[in-house]
Amino acid sequence: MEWNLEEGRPIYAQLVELIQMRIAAGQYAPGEKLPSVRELAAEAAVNPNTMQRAFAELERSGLIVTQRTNGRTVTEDEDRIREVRKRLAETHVREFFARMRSLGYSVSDIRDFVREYSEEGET
Amino acid sequence: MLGKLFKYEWKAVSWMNLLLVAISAGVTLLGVVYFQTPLWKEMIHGSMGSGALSSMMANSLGILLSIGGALTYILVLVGVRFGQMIFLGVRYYRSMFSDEGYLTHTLPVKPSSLLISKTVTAGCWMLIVNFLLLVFTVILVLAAILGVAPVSFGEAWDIFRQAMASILEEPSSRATLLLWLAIGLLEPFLNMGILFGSLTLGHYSRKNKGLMGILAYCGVSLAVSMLTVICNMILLSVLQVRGTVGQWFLVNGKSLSSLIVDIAVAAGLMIWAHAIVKNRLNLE
Amino acid sequence: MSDLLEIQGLSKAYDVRNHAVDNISITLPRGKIIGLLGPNGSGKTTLIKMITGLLKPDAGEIRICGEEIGPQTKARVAYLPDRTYLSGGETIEGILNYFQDFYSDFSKESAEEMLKNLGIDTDVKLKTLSKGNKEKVQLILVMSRKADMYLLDEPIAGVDPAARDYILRTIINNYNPEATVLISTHLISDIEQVLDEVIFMRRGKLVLYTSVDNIREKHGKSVDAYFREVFAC
Repeated sequence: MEWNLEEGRPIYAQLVELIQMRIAAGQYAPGEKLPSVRELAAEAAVNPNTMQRAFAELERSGLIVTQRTNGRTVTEDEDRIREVRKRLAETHVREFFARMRSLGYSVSDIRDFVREYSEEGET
Repeated sequence: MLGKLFKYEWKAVSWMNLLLVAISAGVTLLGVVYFQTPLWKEMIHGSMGSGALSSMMANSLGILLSIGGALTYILVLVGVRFGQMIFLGVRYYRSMFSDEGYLTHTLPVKPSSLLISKTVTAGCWMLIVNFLLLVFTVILVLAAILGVAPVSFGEAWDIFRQAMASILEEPSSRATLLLWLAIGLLEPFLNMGILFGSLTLGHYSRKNKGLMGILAYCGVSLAVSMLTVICNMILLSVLQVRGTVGQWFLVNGKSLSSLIVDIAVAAGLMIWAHAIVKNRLNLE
Repeated sequence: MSDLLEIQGLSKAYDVRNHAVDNISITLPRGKIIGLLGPNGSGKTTLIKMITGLLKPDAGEIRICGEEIGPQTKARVAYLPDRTYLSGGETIEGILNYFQDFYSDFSKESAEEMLKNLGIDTDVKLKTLSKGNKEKVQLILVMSRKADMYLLDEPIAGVDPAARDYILRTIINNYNPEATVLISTHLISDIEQVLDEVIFMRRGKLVLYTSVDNIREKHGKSVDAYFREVFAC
């Protein structure tokens, strides 16, 4: 997953989301040790202070845990991860609906659209 | 830090100076070889005797070669001397005021260290080259004489030693020798101090630092000449030609004045240059 | 520990009408990556040259870690100018030794490692390198020092995107919470996400000094977009 950053929003907030997505997608498994702030900052080409701030946010929300022996790891609390995944999914769906509506599709149109698309996908 | 600056400065200028020494040594060797050839011996002996046509032609060739050779030799030595000065001047300017200056002036060293390391290194090399040029010229002249004179090397050395002894006995010629020794040892450093100091003055100009530096050097050289004359006049009028001491000053006053003026001007310029580099640096 | 950089009432004028730097006062903390932004001719390079001691101010004071500009501050400041300042006839190995000799905080090993990663051989003479590689060598020399302050003057101008990435990643990887990096550039969008704070300069004056987050939160746009607004002709 690429580090795509947008212009109009604070970078640290976007980093929080991107890391949440990685955790939700399983790229960082529950209990897995995370790369260091500096490594991730270099990967994302952002300021280490900004990455540090994102980490602090994630720690506050409980998605990341700091242990004395293991350093920073993803939480082992799978419920929490599932919740984050759900929230991210809801955001995607909301955005999807908003965009489809702006194209002129009604809610039932959208439902049909989705059904057709998913049936196609199975064949 | 000063030691390190010396080390790198020395490394940076060695190659060119060694090249100049090699060139001088080369032409000297050519000259020495020439003086061993029959051509030279013929020419000298021939002018003291036979009038045969063939030896006259050999003489003319010999004379031409000798004069041409002598002129070339002098030109080469002058060229080496000037070349060295130009090279050292350009090196100073480049390392202090061109893009390389961005490296030089961000080193954690004092401006005085920069000036001292550059001036002393350049002075040392000028001293070495001056000395070697002197030695080479003496060798050449010796070769010319020994090539034709019925004298062995050992005898020539004895003559030289006796001459030196008699010079050292007499107080006035001893003083002259000391003066020339002092000049020989100090002048290279003073010359470099004056050159580098003048080039630094060019720093006042915004657009043409190099050109202004060269003009400053010309101006300073002119001023030094005039000051030398004035100093000499003062020296002579103060001391009032009296006896052997007065005689000595009459003969050697100019050289002495030159040394005194050079010391004063070099010191003054170096202090000024230090002030410029420390307080008025303005690298473009 | 005192502030890293304190500037008070700094001015430099080349002629009576034009102030290259006009009465600037600013204090920079440690541990930040700061962008010095402004149109060409706004005085950024003049300001940086005064901090490095290559230019003497007409008025005002500069203090680095509480000390006046001199050999002690030069030992703490690593400067990357916007031009080639190394003599082409030297080998890279020679230059590494030179830096090691004069700067006690220089790590020859890290420089060699970075050069190896780029495939640059240290036995070659500098003048044989391409322009891009020459610039990378100069950057590596600066970044291999453990300085208190890094001054980078236009490090990514005139450089291809891959090299630009390399330069930004090197700056990030080198980050040290005790040191501050001041990057002067007019290419804001490429560098914005690496910056903590930004300084805007115009015509020698200080126009703004704030954090990147502040601009994005308050104005809802990137620093680049905000800059264009502020400096629109």
